[in-house]
Amino acid sequence: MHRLIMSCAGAASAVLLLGAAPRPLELSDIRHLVTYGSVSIAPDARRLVAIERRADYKENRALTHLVLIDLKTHAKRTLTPDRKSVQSPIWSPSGDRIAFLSAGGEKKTPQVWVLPADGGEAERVTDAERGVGGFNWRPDGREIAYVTEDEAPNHKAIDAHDDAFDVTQEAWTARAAAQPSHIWLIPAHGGKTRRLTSGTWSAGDLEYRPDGHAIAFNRAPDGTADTFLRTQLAIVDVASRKVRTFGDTGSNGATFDRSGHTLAYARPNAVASVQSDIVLADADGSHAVDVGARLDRDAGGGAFLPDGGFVVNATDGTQTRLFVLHRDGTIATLPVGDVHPNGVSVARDATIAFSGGTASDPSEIYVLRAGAQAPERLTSTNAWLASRGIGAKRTIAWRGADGTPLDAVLTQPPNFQKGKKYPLVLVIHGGPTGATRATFNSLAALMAGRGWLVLEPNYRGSDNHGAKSIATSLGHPMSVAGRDILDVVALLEKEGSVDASRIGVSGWSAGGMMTSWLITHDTRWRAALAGAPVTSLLGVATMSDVDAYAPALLRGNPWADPAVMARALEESPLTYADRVKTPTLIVTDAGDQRVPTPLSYEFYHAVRATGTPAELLVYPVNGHFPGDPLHAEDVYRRWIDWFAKHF
Amino acid sequence: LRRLLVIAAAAAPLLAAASVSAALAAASPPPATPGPAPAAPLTVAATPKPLTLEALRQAISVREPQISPDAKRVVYVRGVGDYKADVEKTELVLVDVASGARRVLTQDRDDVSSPKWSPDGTRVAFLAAPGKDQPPEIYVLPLDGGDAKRITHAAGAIQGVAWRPDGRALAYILRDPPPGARKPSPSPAPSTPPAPSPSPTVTPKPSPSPSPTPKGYAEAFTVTDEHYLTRAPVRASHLWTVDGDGSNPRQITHGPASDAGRIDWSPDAKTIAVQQQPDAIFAHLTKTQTVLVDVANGSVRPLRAGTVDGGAAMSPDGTRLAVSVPRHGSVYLHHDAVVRRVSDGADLANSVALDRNLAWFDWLDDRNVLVGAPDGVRSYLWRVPLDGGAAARYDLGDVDFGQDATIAKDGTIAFVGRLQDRPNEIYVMRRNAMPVAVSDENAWARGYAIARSERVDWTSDGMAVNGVLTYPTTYSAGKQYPLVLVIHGGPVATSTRTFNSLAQMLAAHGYLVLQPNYRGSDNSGDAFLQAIVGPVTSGPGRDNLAGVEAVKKLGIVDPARIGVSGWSGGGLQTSWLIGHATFWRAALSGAAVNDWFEQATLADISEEFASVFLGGVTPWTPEGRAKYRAESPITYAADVKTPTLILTDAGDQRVPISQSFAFYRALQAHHVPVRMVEFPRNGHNPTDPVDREARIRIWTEWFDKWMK
Repeated sequence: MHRLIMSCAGAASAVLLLGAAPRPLELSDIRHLVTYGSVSIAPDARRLVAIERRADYKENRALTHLVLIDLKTHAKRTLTPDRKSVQSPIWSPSGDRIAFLSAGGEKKTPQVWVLPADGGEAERVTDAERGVGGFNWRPDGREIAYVTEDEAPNHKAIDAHDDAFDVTQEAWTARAAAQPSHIWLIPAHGGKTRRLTSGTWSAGDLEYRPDGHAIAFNRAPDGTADTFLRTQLAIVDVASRKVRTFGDTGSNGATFDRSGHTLAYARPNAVASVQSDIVLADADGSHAVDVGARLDRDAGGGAFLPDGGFVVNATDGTQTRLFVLHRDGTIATLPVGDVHPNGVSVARDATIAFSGGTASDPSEIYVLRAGAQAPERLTSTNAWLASRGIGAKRTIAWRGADGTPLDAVLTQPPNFQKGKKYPLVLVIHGGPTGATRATFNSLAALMAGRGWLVLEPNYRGSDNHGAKSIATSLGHPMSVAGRDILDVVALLEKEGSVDASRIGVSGWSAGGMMTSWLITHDTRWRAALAGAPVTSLLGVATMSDVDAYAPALLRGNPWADPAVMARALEESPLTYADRVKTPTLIVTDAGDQRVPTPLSYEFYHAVRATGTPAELLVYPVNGHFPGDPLHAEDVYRRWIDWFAKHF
Repeated sequence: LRRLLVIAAAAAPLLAAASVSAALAAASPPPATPGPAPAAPLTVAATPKPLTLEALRQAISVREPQISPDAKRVVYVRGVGDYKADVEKTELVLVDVASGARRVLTQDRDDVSSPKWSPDGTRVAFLAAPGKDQPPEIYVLPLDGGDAKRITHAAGAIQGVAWRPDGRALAYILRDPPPGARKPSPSPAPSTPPAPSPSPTVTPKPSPSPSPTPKGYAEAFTVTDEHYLTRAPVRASHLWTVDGDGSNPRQITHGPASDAGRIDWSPDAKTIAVQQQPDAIFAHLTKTQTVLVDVANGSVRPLRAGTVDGGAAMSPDGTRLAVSVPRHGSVYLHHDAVVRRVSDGADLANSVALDRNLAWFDWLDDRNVLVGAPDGVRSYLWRVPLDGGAAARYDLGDVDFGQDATIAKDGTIAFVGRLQDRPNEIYVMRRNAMPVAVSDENAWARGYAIARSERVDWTSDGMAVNGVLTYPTTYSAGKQYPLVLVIHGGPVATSTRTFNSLAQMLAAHGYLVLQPNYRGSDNSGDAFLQAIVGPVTSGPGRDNLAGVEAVKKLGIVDPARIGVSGWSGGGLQTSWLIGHATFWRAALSGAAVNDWFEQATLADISEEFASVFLGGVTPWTPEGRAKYRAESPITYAADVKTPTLILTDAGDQRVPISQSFAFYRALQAHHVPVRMVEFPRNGHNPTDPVDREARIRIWTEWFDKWMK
């Protein structure tokens, strides 16, 4: 689940409206979409809480609320009406309270708040100067462990403006040295804190062992965001503060089963390190069984069932599925119908709750009761979408040159007619360790609403067909994937619905990287939009907050090995920029820490020098994709307008 | 005419700031000499104290000396570091030339600059910020008593202030407000009513724009030659006038072209000469030319169409302009002063024979132009007669001309003097007399041991090269000392033998310091400068290695302890030198150009700067790309064995930090001891007092760590 270089899906906001005549989805509709996440089911399975995300276009900010849903009546109400930002709700072990993170109150940084489930306002528990990065309940519900960033060792000098800092793995956008985070304990009703860990290494993602005497967590070598592929697991004994580290480098996300005898965690797949395998082991990490290698899908979002099975979600082809992994190596599939579940939450009676989308609905909340044949939908917040004409989606599956199974999702215009020719736009997913699934996608729906076919190809390097498929792309991520994408375009063209003179190509992040690759290696495109494009893998290895990702894709550090350096150049669109004949819009945030902004500038200059029409559009914001609703909407608007102009 | 600012901004400091001399010295500055009484430098004192960073906090910056029309008084800007608030405190100082009496004219103002005497000498206009984090506005101070009165309420970046000859109005240059911004008006406009919430059912065909934009929302924008940190569309600056009492602000020029530089009124007040570039993109300063603006109707005509230049000064009679003209067509290279007729732009005289790169110029009178320029390891002032006679160099004694001066009607010159044994002071020089110091701001330096600097000469590739060698404060003949190279940036700049904080601190720590003036430096004539074009890195690299050999021959260098350092163009040289020789004990590469391709595609000076110095080559052909690679230090990073400290501002638009990151990752990967330190600041150099000091501290500590 290392989808680091991906674009964010469109934001969301909701007002129920009953549309008049069905008409294609339009940009203004997107303002009313609502999405759910962080579902947490009460231990007794009678209620659940979740984060409901909307967008406030007036204030231009995302709004997140904690909502409570009764599983019997499906009644939903907002628990935090006046808080603007709420994250990470977790039920107390006894189910009487809900803890969450919120930056509300006088503290501007996120703090842990505890809300009584039977009435009364939330109370702030922590007072961490630099905010809380994550927390969890002690199994007896009387203590909370949380993670907060250390103060800079030279904070006094910094306060006196003597603020030069050493760079280690920081991104090019850094304005201060990253500080490690550590674990602290605090009584659940607030009070005196106790620091549990310290050191130059950094702690995150913590969970108590069921006996409450130890805490498992991710141990990163330092405080930079680039812990990707660099973490290990550790367990700290609460009484002695002794820390024991275990697991291969890249392991993360330890979680205990209810008995405390079994531990699940994710670790990099042996063949393709960017794929996560789930490992089940003894509570101390010994006797590890790599069940995930058998599943061979990029798994995430796991939780234990009462019987010791471990539920994960993973993309399989263009469908997301829930799998139950057992330590004996057996794997079962849970029935989720056409729902694509996100992370799961499990109640004591094995009821599983999750949020998820379908081909026609971006997000609702579901529960799957033990033994049930299908999930039950608890919300219908986005049901109004049914009154919009939304094009049908279908999966195109084929085998790549070396026999690798591949697929793509095609979205058709709402009143698609066979025999007619349509313009085609490719929208290529990011990651590249990710995959397009047959779920509602605002951008594809909007483009289809314009009367275009929208093709979202998966390619070798996508994580929906197992490690071998990814591995075939490692070392040569762009050339391999580029071939696959051209193959599926040819395949689709044979079906006869594509107007070959009007094919556009686009994508954000790794999708922008593939776009830049495709326009440097083929001239059929009428227009291209490359968003936050990785035009140089070397640039990512050098300046990104996930600089370890490029070496993983290239199978080596280009700076250390001339052969890898040669490969990095061979596999970078920038090297071939003089071949571009396609009018190209390059889009970037001004302060993109993930795909460094300079990579867009360099490619723009190089394409411009060929005389091919090229534009470089800059969003005056930080981040890998504009995080505010108005800019995000503007990206979609311009994306669509760019192709409309060229079609 | 520091008016040459354009050039200063263009040529010298382009990569120069690095010139540690220019940069570091300027702010926590420099030189020193005799106060009112000619100081007895190093010789007298009992036991002078060693110079420390703490002592350097006393350094005062003096600049923008403005001599009154009657030559009796001088106003200058005085800056002192406030290390608590981490800002430079500035004020205007008035000196009576005859008595030497000095007093401060402004109180509690921020960012004071650009003082200008009214033509009758009764008032001084200046710029100052009306409040914290606000752009400066124009103030006028009566010299017969009273507070200064604020004249403008422009709420935008103002540069340049010039009195109309009748003293009843001022001209200035103001950057346009952001598109959509409300014009500042005396009566605030009623606030816009809240917009109706978006209707979910109605959608016009063309995708709708977001209705009312919330506070802080800024639209996406396209860029072309802007730098990689750009956060907003560029905005042009335009010429304005305002009456002396603040009434009638009026925009004179309009359109996409952007005005800059010195503002010169014609004696009849009908015309203003100013610099103009076709748009506001910084890189397009290479397309700057002098234009004549009709004040009445705002129409603009170039002094000479189809040319570019680096600034102009109008003759007292208004019939001619002295213009800074790039000899090879690029403002990045050598400039001569050329006198052109206002009426038709025809050339009347020039300073070509002087063959020194113009750093400053102005009219002494209607028959003579004064020219300031570096020469060898000093900088001088010349008088260039228009009758074709030879340029005559002024005898300034031990004082170097600081390229910042004004001239009174009687030909008296007030200028910033650069000294060897203390930071700068203000000097006044009457016709046919030696300069006299009228400030004594840096008298504190007298109690300290100031290291001695000398010129050294060597040859490289058959060319005569020179540099400045600074001796350890504790130097005694017959001993050997560790040597640190401090290489200037630019590359069109010069290290002179005047007081330099960094060199002084290194000398105080026991190092010999060599500041080489490699080819491309502008102290030895156009041919020497021009020799950098093409072999932009490799050529100077040979010059600098030859400099090390030359200094070693003096027998005072410990050959096992030689370090190399520099900022900007000097960082480029440092990165290059450690990739081409392994005898270095340690290196400090600051804000370094390590990759000419990235320099060309990301920097505010964009593709043209790289292309000019690489001999007209672009990276858009295979041969061009190979050339860029061959002259880039990153190409040789695998050969580096020297422990290296990489330093940069986090928001450097001039030398993009991607290059520091790449060099850092490369050295890391080859297990070379390397450290990268960033100042969390925007700009090409840290400019705040604390970080400027920290830079010197980090610099000396790094060499102490590896060479002590």
